[in-house]
Amino acid sequence: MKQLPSIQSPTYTHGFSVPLDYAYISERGLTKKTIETLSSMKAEPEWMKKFRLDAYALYLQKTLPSWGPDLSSLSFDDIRYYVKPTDGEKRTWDDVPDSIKKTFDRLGTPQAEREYLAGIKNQFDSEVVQGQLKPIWEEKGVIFLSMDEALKKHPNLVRKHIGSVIPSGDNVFASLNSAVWSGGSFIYVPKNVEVSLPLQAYFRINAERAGQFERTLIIADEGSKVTYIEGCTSPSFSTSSLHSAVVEIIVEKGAHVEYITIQNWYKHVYNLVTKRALVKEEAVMVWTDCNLGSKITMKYPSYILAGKAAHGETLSLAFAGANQIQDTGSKAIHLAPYTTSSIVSKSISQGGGITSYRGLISIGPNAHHAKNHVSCDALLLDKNSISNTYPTQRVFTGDATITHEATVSKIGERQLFYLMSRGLTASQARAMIVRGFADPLIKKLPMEYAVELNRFIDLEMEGSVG
Amino acid sequence: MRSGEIHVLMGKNGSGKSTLAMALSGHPDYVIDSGSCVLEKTELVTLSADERARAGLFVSFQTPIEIAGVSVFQLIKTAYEQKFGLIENVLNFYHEVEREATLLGIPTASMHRSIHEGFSGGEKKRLELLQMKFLKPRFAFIDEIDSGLDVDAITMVSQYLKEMVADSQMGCVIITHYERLLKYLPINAVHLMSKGSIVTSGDTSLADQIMRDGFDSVMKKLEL
Repeated sequence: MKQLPSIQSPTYTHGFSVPLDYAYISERGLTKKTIETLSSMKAEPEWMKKFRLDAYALYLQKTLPSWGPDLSSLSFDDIRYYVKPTDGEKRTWDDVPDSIKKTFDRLGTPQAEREYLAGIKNQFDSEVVQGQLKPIWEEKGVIFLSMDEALKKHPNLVRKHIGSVIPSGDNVFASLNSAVWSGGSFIYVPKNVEVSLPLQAYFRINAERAGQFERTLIIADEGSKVTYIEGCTSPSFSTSSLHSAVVEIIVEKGAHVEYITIQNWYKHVYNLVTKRALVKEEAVMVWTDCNLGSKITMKYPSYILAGKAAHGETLSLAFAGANQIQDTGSKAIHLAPYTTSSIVSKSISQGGGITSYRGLISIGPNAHHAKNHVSCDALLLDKNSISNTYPTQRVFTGDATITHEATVSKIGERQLFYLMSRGLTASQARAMIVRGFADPLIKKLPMEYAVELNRFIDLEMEGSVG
Repeated sequence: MRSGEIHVLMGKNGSGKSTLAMALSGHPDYVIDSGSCVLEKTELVTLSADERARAGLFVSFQTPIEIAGVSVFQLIKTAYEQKFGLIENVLNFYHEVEREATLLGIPTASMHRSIHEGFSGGEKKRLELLQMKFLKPRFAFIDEIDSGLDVDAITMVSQYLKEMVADSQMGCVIITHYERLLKYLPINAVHLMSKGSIVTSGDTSLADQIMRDGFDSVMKKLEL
C-alpha cells in the first residue's frame, strides 16, 4: 500500500511510520462483506460471525451521539476497517518482521518488557504481532492472550463474557467495535492470584486511514489482583484514523483491577472508546486514564458497582492543545449498598484546545449508604482555551452522600514570574507549573510512564512559548 | 554598592521599598521608564526576570507565591541546574540541601512539600533564603526578611545570612521595619526611603534614630 509520508511534528516524537508489505488490507469503508471476510480470514466459529453481523445490523440503525463534540468530519467510508500486518502473533522479537520490530524498538517497548512487566502484547494496526507472559504467571494459571487467540483457545470463556458488560447495542461505537473488532487483550486471573507486576499492551497504528478496533476483556476472579497498562501512538498523517476500542472488565468478589492508559495518538486520530467494569462485592476497580493525544477523544471509563461495598475510582488527566478536543469523564453506577466511588479529573488546555469533563453519578434505589466524590480541576494556559464541566447526578435513594467540586485556574502570571525570578526560562517555568498540576496523577504511574509524561509536558510547553 | 556589603532600606508603608524590589526583579507588572541598574557590568533593566536571575540577582519576596505540586527540592535543583549545569550526583546535592535546610531550621521533610504551600510566614522566609544559598547570587535584595520570625529565629537567620555574605562576598540590601535584625548583622549603610526616593542615608545610628523617634520625626528634623 502506498502511504503519504508522515509530517514531522516538533512536539510529537512518535510520528514516524514504517513501510510494510501488509498481509491484508480491506477496501475503504464497511460492508457486510468486509465483516464476513474478516471473520473467515480469522477462521472464527459461526457464533462469532453471527455476533459480528448482529452488531453490524445494530450499527446501521444507530446514529452518532447528539451530544458532545462534533464528529461530522469523521468520514467512516474512508476508513480501512481491517489492516492485517503479518501472519500470526510471535513470541519473540526475532520472529517479528524487521520494520515492525524497529517501530517498537523506537517506541522503547522491548526494553520495558524485560525490566518491569509480567507480560506484554504489542498490537500493530489490526493484529497483535508479538506477545508473551512470563512463565511464573503462566504456571499460576494466569491467561494473557490476544482476543483472537483467546477465541481459539478458550472459546467458552470468551463466549460467556464478551458483550456481557458492554452489549453490542450499547452505543454506536460499541456496535461498530463488536462488528469489526480485531486484536486487544484477554486476561484471566485465577482466584487469589496477585499478579505483582503489570501486564502491558502497546497499541500502534501504522497504516494511513487505518481503523483500530481492539477488544479487551479482563476477568479477575475472586480475591485476585492485576494491573494492566496500555499505551497508544500513531504516525503523524494528515488524514484521519479511527480508534474505537471496547474494554470490558469483570471484577469478581474481593478482586482488585487497575487499568492504566497513556493515550498519545497523533492529532488526527478520532479516539472513541467504551470502557466499563462490572464490580462485585468488596471488589475494587481503578481507572487511571491519561489522554494526551488524538483529535477528538470521547471516553468515559465506567464502573457498575453491583456488589455490596464495591469501590470504583477514576483518576484522569486530559491535555488538549490546538485543534484537540478531550471529552472525557467517568460514570459511576451504584447498584448495591455501601458502594463507594471517587472521581478525580484534571485537565489542561492550551492553544485553543477544549477539555470537557462529562460525568454521570447514578445511585440506584438499593444503594443505601453509597458515597461518591467528584473533583474536577481545570488549568487553562491561555485565554483561547476552553474547559467545560457537564456533571449529571441521578439519585434514587435517600441516604447517599455525593459531593462535587470543580475548580478552574489560569496559569498564574505570578507563579510564572516567581519561577523565572529563580532563573528558570518561561517555558521551563510553564512546564514546572503544569507538571505540578498533574503531579497527583504522575505519582501514581509506573516510573517509565511518569518519565514519559513529564517529557510530554516539557515538549508541549517548549512548543507553546514564543 | 560594593560586594560584600549589607545595606538596610527603611521607610514607611507605601514608601516604595517593595516596589523597588519588584521592579528590580523584573516583575511584568512593573515598568522601568528610565534609569539604569548595573550588576557587575551587566545592565539589568533590559533583561527579563530569568535573565536577571541568571546574571546574579536574587530577590527574596515579602509574600512568595505557592505552587502546588512543585516541591522545594525540585525547584532548587532545577534553578541550580539552569544556572550551573547538570548536577552529576543528585543524591549528594540532595544531602547538601538537607544540611543547609537544617541550618536554617527547616525540617528536612519539607523538601518534598510544594513550594510555599501551607508554610507559615517565617518558614517562607527561610525557604527563600535556602534557594538563595544555592543560587549563589552576586547581589541579593531581601524584602522583609524578619517578618513572621520570632526572636530565636531572627538570630538563626541573621547568623546564616551573615555567613553567606562573608563567604560569597555578595552585596545585599535588606528591607526591614525593625532594628532587631540590625543587632546581629554587620550593616554598612542605612537608607531612608520616602515617596519612591531615597531621601537620606547614614550608618546604623540612622536606624536607631528612626526606631526611637519614628519616620515622621526624623524626616522633619532633616527638613524633608
